Amino acid sequence: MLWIKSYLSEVGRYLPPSQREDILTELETSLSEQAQDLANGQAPTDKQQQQVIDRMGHPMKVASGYDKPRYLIGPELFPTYLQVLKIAFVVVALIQCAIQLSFFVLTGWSTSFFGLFKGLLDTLLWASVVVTIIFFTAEYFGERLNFYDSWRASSLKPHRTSSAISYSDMITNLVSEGVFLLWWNSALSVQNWIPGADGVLTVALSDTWAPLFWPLNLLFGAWFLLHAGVFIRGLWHNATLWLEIGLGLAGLAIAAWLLLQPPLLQISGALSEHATIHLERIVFTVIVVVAGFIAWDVYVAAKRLRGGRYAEDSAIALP
Amino acid sequence: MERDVHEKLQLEIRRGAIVLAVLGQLRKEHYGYSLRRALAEHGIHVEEGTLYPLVRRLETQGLLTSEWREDAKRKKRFYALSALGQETLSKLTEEWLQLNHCIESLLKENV
Repeated sequence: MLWIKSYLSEVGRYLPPSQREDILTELETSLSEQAQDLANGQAPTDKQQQQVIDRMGHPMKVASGYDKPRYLIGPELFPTYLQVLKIAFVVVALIQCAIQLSFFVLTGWSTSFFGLFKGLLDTLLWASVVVTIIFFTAEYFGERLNFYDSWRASSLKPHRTSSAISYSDMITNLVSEGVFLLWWNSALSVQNWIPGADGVLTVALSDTWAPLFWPLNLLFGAWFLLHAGVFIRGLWHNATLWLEIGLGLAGLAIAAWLLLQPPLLQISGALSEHATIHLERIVFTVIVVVAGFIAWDVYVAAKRLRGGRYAEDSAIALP
Repeated sequence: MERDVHEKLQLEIRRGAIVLAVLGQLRKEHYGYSLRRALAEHGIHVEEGTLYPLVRRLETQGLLTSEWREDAKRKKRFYALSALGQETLSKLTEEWLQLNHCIESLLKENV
């Protein structure tokens, strides 16, 4: 039975050595008897052997049936893995921002936007590698999570309304707030963004912004911390929604105040009056757009509080 | 898509039932192929790629015992229920019958 023997040697390639002989002997008996049944007790033809082999399937698939199911990270550990990954990302991003600010305060060294992005990406990558290795090791050694069994309903904190977050929104918020904070504190330099402008043209924020140094730091810092917390929790609650609305309204008030206090830029160098007005209009428009986003966030938060359209598909209303 | 869903659900229903069928059939000694034939005679068709690894798993769990013997000039591994296997089978049978009764009444109720 040449076909069956060849097939079995293929299957044997994928079997664990400790069980190989045992399994192959068993399969050989089965395949041979099936082929003989097809041949009505006579010596099976090549075609009959092939028929039996075809029914059995690909050698790798057959061999994999004898292996216990393996996961890099299995279904029991996976939700915790994701949660730890989220926390690690937020913590790492916070540390990165703190390091960047400390460097600026201590040495006066600031980075470019791309420098910050690359640094953050590298650190996030390392964080995810470390977390993945830890969970992979836990899975490999069959570690289980005891806190699933010890969990009790009494550990819940009842809220009137809770609704799931949009991860894309939250990541966008965290990134933009982090970048703004670094830029606002001069730890992130954007001068190189204007090609060929060094020494010819100086564009800076006007004195109108000066009184806003601490208010904007506090506002964006609070936003960043709020969004980081909500991102880790994965849910909006009443308190966080109210906080989001409050901060949003404060942000809108600052934006409105800014729009009423031109000029917003201090431009020196060889630039025509027309171009100066144009740049001023761009900044004006940017503030209006940012205010629009803030207003939208406030609106969505209010809708979520009322259990409206933006909470319908994700909200769990509690009595 | 609809067919995929149906096949997946069917597989889920069959998965547990096959274990019980194998244990039930191994009250009498069988080797791999004879077990498969015996199950097929009862209308339970199981692929070899599913059946043989399952039998080995059940043996590892202590529910089956096995013995290599020569039969019709071939080396065959014969499987039979162990004491633990018999105890487990009677418990599972009880549960199966109870579940079957409940599902049956539930399905009839909704017709």
